[in-house]
Amino acid sequence: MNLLAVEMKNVNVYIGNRHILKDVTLKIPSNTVFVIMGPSGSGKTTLLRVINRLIDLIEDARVEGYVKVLGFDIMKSDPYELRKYIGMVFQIPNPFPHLTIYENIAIAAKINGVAKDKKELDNIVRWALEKAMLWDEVRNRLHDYPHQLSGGQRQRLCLARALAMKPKLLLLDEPTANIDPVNARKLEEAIVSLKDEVTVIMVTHSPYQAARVADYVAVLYDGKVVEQGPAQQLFLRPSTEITQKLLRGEM
Amino acid sequence: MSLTVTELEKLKSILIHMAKNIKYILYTTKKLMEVNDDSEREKTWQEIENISANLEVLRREFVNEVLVFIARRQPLGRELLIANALISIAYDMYRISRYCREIARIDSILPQTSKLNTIKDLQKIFIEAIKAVEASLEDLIDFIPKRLNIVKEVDNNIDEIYREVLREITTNPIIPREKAVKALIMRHIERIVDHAQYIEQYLSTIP
Amino acid sequence: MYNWRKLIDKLFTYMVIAVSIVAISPVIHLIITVLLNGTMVIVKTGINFFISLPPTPFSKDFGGIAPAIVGSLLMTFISLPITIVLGLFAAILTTEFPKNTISIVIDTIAKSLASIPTIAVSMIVYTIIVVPMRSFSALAGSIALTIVSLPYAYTYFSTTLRSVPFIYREAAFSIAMSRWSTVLKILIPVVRRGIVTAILMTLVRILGETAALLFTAGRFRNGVTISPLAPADAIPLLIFDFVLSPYEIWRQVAWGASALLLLSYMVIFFTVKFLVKEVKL
Repeated sequence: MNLLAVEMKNVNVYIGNRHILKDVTLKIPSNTVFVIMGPSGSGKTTLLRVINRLIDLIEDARVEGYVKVLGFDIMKSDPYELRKYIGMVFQIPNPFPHLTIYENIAIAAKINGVAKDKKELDNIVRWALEKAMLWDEVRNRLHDYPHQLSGGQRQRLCLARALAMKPKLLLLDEPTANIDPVNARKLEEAIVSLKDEVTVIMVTHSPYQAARVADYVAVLYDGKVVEQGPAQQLFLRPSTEITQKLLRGEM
Repeated sequence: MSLTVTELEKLKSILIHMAKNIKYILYTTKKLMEVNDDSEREKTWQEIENISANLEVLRREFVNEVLVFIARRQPLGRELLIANALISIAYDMYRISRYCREIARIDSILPQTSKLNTIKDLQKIFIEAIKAVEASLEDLIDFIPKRLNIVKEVDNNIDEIYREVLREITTNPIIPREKAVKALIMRHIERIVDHAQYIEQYLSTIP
Repeated sequence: MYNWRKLIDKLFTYMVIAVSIVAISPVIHLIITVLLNGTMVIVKTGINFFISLPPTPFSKDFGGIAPAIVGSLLMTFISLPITIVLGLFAAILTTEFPKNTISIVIDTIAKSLASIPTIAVSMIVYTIIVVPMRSFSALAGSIALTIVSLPYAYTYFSTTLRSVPFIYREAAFSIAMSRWSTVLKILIPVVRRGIVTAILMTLVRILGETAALLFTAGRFRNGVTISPLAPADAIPLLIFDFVLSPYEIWRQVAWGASALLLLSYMVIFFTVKFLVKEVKL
């Protein structure tokens, strides 16, 4: 088992002629909640998409540097294989609208060969929904469609879908940005409880959310890593003015 | 400037206002070691009692204000450490006033002819202590422990004197009353200077 | 002040309604006219309309348009699947790899094919297929129909596929779905209503296309043929010929055929709208 889930060295990302990530170097330990914090436009979303190579979907994106995820050099790996170990939850909840709640989770499990028969599939769906703290609310309507759920429930469904892959790494892109506070809290609790099984990398622009869930924090500003370290240290004694401004909510 | 910083400055100024009360109570207590007049003594005891009771209320209200600030502004980093320092320093100030009150109580119990002004060197020692407290309270203005060394020096001196007095009363089987009373008062003065030092220490926790 | 605004608001509402009515009324008039005149003919002839041969110019009996129906069905049966498959495949290709050279070529061809007049397509197919075969045929007709409807099919499919919100593509990739899995299991099902509409629109195009068949299908009305290599008739062709003829009875049959076509459209549309459930995003 690797001690480092993700390692990035001198990573530069360009989209078109814009220089989005500048010389990013990060070390993300396994089985922690690692939060990437920073103001809007600092490149957090791009950084996340480098890890599971979802950035390939963007036409004129160019990635330079060394990135090692779960022991693999991602530039030399097959992205589809890589993504089997990485789950992702997006800012806007995006459960597949044409599949039922059950099917949404099942499709993720089936693709990755996690479940082999109907019984195993049922178990995985239940496990995933429990972990995402959604089971109690949907146990009797697994064959409803996502549009019948509230926004917060949809987002937890997306979390369950990501977990159904039994990933080693979970990427969360501002998952509570479009959710009401109660559901946001539920989601945060679910995230923190996942630490033992996965490494969680979460992006947020709210320092308070970071304070609530993070074990480690990296501060990203204008594409550069300004500071990184254990959360306790960063939240009590930040070593840069930018971090302090961020914590005060001035940025 | 953000709301967090402005509210924090307001809290700091309340603390500095409380500091004025501490200075006043200390000087009032000093009077007990100088004057001779009985009626003035009585007035002084009453004053010290009132200020001390006042400060207790002020402290409680102040701590509440700081807690409300923490709940509302959810400070992190430096601001959080400052909020913690404010609460702790308020307590230290309160303790200093309590010790003054204790000194006044002892004075009121003492027989007419043997009040605090009769004890050798006590006034001098107390003036030293006041110097330390004043130094730490001065540092509240900039919130930087600039005068840490001054306070430390006074602390060392007072500690020396206290230990001397203790040694004196522990070596002889029979102790004159003056020495016993001096020991009692010295204990309080030593604690007062300790709290002055705590204030400096809390100021040092802030980066 | 308030009343003035309300007045203007009402004025605009009425204006929009009025303009809409003016815009729709020709269509409504058309539908009503065709249905009125045509259904009368069909009802008078009964089932014979669908199984008999067209009448001779001076007969009293309406006969039927069986050759045209069979011909239309045959040519649709041949060209629709080909058009759909090619169009869908091309649309998937250009959506998945938009910057690829092949995609750009396909896109350009589709756009230019659409602007060729259908009668020109008819002439081209005549030269390439009919002449070497030495006869008109349903096959030639089908080929002409395919060429004419392909650009539209491609455009419909392409627009539909591109309307899938990007977030679903991201979601599919994030659970390690392969590219083609994503297209087949996620992208297409999400817009299944749009896909079906695209197919319907193509079908409508094919059924109603007249000029492309002018020099290719052959207008064979004396019997019903099911061989694609033999000349055939088609409903629009029949309407075209009979309407221009000087014989009253033929003109009546043309009404009937038009009504049949219109009714078929309506039935197809409404059935499918009910059958395919909308995917609520």
